[in-house]
Amino acid sequence: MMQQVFPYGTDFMSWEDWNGGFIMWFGEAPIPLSSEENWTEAAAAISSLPSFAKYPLPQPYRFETWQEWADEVTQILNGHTNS
Amino acid sequence: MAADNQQQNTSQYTSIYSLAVPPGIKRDGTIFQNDQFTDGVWCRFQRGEPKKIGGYKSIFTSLNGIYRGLIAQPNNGVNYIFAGNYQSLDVFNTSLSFATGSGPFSVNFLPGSVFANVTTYSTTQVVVPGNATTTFAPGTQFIMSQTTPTTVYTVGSASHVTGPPNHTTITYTPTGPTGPATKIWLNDATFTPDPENGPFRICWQFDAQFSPVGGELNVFAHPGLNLQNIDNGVPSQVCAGPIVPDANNQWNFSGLCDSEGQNPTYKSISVDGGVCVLYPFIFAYGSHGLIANNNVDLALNTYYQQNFYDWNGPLANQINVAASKIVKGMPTRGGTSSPSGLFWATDSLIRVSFNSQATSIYWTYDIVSNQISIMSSSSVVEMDGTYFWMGVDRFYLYNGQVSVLPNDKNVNYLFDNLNYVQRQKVWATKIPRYNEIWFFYPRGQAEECTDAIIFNVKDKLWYDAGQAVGAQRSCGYTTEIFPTPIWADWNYIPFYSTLFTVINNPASLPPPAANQIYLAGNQTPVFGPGDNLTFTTVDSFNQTYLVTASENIFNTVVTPPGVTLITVSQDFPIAPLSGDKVFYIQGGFNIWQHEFGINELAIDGEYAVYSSITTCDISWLTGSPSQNAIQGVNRRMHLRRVEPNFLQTGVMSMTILGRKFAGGQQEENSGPFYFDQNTGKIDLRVEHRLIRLKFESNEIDGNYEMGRNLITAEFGDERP
Repeated sequence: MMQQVFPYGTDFMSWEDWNGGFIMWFGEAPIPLSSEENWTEAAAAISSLPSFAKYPLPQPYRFETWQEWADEVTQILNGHTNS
Repeated sequence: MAADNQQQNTSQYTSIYSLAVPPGIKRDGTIFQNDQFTDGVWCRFQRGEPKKIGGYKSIFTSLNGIYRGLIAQPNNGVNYIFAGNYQSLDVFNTSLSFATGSGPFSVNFLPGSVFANVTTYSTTQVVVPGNATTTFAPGTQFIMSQTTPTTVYTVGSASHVTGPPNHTTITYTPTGPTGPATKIWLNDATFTPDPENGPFRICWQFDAQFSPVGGELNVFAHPGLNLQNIDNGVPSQVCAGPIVPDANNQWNFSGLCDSEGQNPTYKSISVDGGVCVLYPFIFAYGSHGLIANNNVDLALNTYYQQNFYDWNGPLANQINVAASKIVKGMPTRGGTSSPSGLFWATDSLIRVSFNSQATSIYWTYDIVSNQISIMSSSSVVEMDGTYFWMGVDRFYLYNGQVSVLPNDKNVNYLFDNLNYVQRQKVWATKIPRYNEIWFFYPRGQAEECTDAIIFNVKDKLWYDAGQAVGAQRSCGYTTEIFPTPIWADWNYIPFYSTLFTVINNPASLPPPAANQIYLAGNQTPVFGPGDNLTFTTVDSFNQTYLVTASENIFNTVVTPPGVTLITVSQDFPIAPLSGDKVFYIQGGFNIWQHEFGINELAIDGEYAVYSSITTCDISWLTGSPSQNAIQGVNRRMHLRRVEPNFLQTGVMSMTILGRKFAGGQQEENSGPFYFDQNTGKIDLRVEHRLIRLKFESNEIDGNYEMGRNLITAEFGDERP
């Protein structure tokens, strides 16, 4: 099966929607659902999942906002786009 | 709040809609009332479907100025591009299929606006045909050669004899050469550039015609002084020259004048409108409805006697057919042996026809309409025999009669925002492959064209370029033998080398001339003939100098690598001093080959071309994603899934633009949601009362053509 792009950008999206979209897209992985105030915990859990070890995804602690972390995750998953 | 029973309707959960938005981008009116696409950037419609407009490649750059008129003319396997700016007429050449070639080469305008053929010559007087006493009046200066340096002679006396023979005897000083002169020219310039710091007034018009005399194709160029005022009444001379260079690889143009034929008037062909060719006649036009044409001798039933310098013979004519200024002329379909043309005055459209069967009045001038307008002299395009142009407040077409070109999509968007002060910079061209006519215009306070309104002739659609960077063009030429459009950019984008420093001349070498500088070491690999240098990195295109020679010098005193003596084409206004900074400069104004690939290929790299298209409002209020309905349901639309269907390369994004009410512009956006050619579906949970979908492509090699997108939507909340 060909790799598909991860579809969820962050520009006009809440953390809850992005987190939910991530769960929908990677449904087989044990991805936690959290509120925005606890986004680093969910992000850290996602980054540590063996499913993403091949990338790997960054830990969230060096990012100030969830959007910065999610943008980098999206770029890593999809490859760079200018959009 | 009382609940309705819409959400009890379980059939909504099994409904899927295909996104159906009629083609075209409608800017006028409200977004809510619009049932077509509401926004787009660099997106066209083909077969009614949105499609990213093609990319463009920089094929030439020039430091000479913004081009204000361009013609591409093939000749014997070479595509010659003539482009005029405020100070020069530049020539580029490419192959007929690929945009590889060379340029710019500036045309040399030979001196002498009017010439006279010399029938009898002596070192103190010449005899010329007809009455030349006005043009060559006593005190007038003339030359006997157009090549420099040349001697200037002064007319002592000019006496006319009605004859026969009908001629003028001109005495002159100082003594002429012993060898006979065949022509004399007035000692003046045929082309006067605009001042370096403006005002910039020159707007070029071009055409081409074969001359049996000499057997070569000629280009006609008119540098009208009307860029800032379409109604400017200051004439300038029409110039002409061979499309191919001379033996020294130099293009030489001369001014057109009435100096031959039976009764030469010895006047230059100077007009304030422009020039065009109705084969085999040349037409010049201008203020007060002036239309003039040269004489062609048809007696031999050939055009062998055609003469660019005979404007007085029986078939020549000059007439004023309107009160206002003629700003544009184009050939149109006539009968057999009946050259015909259309001429646009600022208030009239005039049809000119030649009647070869007539015995005295050969030319007829019909006022097709005296109640039209025209935005600029470059705003007319002919496609498939129909003429389209932009007026000052609406679009027109002529297909035998003048009528309005209906536009209910963006006419207010255009005319409410067009910078009328810069109206002469409006220009139009066509892209036949996509049946499009592009009207470029300066939007808002812009002083150059920043947007284009596009009319699709085949599908009768209107859309626009969405102020894309690719619409920032000043002039261009459509496809003929060269397969893609060539458009000129008005953005000045120079690139500078690292710093070099002027040095004094070494003791063993002579001081530099007024157009020379010395640099330390061997810099000939950087500064070669044809390159440009500048003393400043402040972006100013009129402070660059063309290198004509570059020589690495060393001797027993100046040991290798020696010094480099650089010679430029003109004297420096201020002599450079030791320690002054010098930079090699390239880039400048790009000449783009459009519809080339899907990226921007600039001289410094390859870039993505941004493109987007935005649908109209989709809601339950007005129907469904598939169609409008008179009666709607007052529910938010809950999008569960979008199945994108695009013929695409690269990753695209979809952003959902949501609004609560029909009025008000506040939007609550959602997304973006990325997808590529392999994406089957995008699951989402987005709910708005009014929804627009914005699709974007912005990566290198990204391209798209919209197919049939599927949307899974259901009723959402009742609250707005």
